[in-house]
Amino acid sequence: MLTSDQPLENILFEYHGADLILRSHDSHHFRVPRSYITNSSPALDELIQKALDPPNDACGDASLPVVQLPESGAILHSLLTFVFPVTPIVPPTTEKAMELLSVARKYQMVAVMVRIRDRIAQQNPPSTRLDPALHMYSLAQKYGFRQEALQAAQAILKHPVSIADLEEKLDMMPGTALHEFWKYYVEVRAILASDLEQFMTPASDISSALGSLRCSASGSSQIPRWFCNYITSIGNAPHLFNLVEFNMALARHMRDEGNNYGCACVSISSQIIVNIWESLASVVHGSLKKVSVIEV
Amino acid sequence: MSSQAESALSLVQGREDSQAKANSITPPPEPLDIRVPDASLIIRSSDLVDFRVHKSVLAMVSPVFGDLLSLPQPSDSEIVDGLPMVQLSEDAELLNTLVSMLYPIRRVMPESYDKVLYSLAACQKYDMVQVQSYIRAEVDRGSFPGPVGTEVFRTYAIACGKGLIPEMEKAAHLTLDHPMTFETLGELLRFFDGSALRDLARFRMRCRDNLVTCLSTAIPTTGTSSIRYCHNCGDTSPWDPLQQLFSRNDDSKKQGFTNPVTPSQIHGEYSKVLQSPDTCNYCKRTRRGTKGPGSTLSAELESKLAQILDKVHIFL
Repeated sequence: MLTSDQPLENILFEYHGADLILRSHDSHHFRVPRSYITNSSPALDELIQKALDPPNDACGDASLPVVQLPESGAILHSLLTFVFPVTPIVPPTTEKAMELLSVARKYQMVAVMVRIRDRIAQQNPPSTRLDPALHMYSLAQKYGFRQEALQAAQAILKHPVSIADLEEKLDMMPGTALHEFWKYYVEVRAILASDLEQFMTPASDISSALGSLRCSASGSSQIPRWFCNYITSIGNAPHLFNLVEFNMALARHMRDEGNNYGCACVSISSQIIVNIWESLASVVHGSLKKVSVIEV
Repeated sequence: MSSQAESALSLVQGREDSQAKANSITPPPEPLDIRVPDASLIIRSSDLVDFRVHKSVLAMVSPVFGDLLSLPQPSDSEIVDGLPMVQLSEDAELLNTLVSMLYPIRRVMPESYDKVLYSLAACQKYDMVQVQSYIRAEVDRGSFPGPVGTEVFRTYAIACGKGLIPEMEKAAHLTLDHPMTFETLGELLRFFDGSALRDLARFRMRCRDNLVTCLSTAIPTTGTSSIRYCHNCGDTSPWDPLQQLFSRNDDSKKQGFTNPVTPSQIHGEYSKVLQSPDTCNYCKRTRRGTKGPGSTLSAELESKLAQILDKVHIFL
């Protein structure tokens, strides 16, 4: 399927029945059956029709018509592995994977985009680490991919976000992307704060999750004060929503109440902790779903 | 337009197509009322306004134009009113300012510091050293607008983008008077490109560390490894109040961004650390604070600290 003076490495298949040559900007030739291409991509179908009408003089090997494309051979090769019944190849770097996705979008290859995304998710599951998340967010903004931008933004939320926290990583995102992320972050915090306030009312699920737990330092709502404080802190800093921070908040309370044997939190059951955490997680995830629009 | 007016050095309304009009937010600048009957070149702005100038004057102030104009002109180069025309990427407002500085006429002042920066960037691009120096001098004298308030963050970002090192340094120092957080930057974040924001953050921490170091030497009674006495158990142990102020400390680092980084601010934080109680290493009871250097910063020390700040640069 691929011919050129300097063939790409890792040529994985040779397709028979080719009636068209796609030529990359770096002069790689892809000999393909036209029907596969036109069925996958309305944009390429139109492009091929224009290129071949009137019949072009540019003919490659075996006198097949040639259609010039602006993409590199490596990207086209990867793209075509998602069109033909062969093992799909995702480029090795995140940058190139996003470029591949953007080329698929450019050629209106909707089904191919789904397959590329699936393959990326299989090969490189979304990372919750900060550096890859910042990198992915920046690339998603650059290419205008809402789904990837949102996924990366939610991963960034798991980390403290301030200039002091991000100091050495501030150059990973251009200012425009950083600004867009900040707007998202502000909206998430506002919605979280509002939803969590509602969560702490007696009518919410938290009352049943707490069961008969009676903390000696409960607020007026009968919800332990340490838990109220912890929940409020999530509204200000969403990265505090994790089980470690929750347990630390409980541990601090138990240390402070160390001499108070009347406080039920000292002997809180694991089931109540699970109940509390699941109720809280439900609210937080619900809040995050509300902020799904990221300008890209 | 009369033929006399047409030969004037100034704006001559050029071919303003509908697109240029649609893109124009501000009206074209007022024509300069200067007659130059022997203009030899037209420079055209990005918004299609023509300026009549002398090749010789342009070549004198700008080696870039000097080289450009010395080259043989292509046969298909555009001629306007019998004069060769050079298309520039700067808009009419900016060119109006620059052209007004080429001749002994009334200077057209940029309306804002942002526009001063764009003028300086154009000078840099065309290697107009004298004009650039003149603009900088006018800013220093206060004749041209300077940066104000939190606008300095935008100023810094623009100066970085344009490679204007003196303006970048100046703006970076001015940002120290303000908190530097995502909240305070807000929309201004859009102006930052690449590593500009990270460099500014690092610069800020270096300034803070240098102020803290200077304080430790300027206030001899409280050196970097002073002893703190516990009134409960009599224990004396080394105590380094400055460690709590260096940017290696997370809390201090955060304060460096949420607070201004000025001599008085750092002095205040230093006094507070000195006076705050801590826990005795031996008996674990609360140990009372040390008498601080006083809440007011002497003019002499403030001046010394300010000099320290002046020596900190964006680029190491």
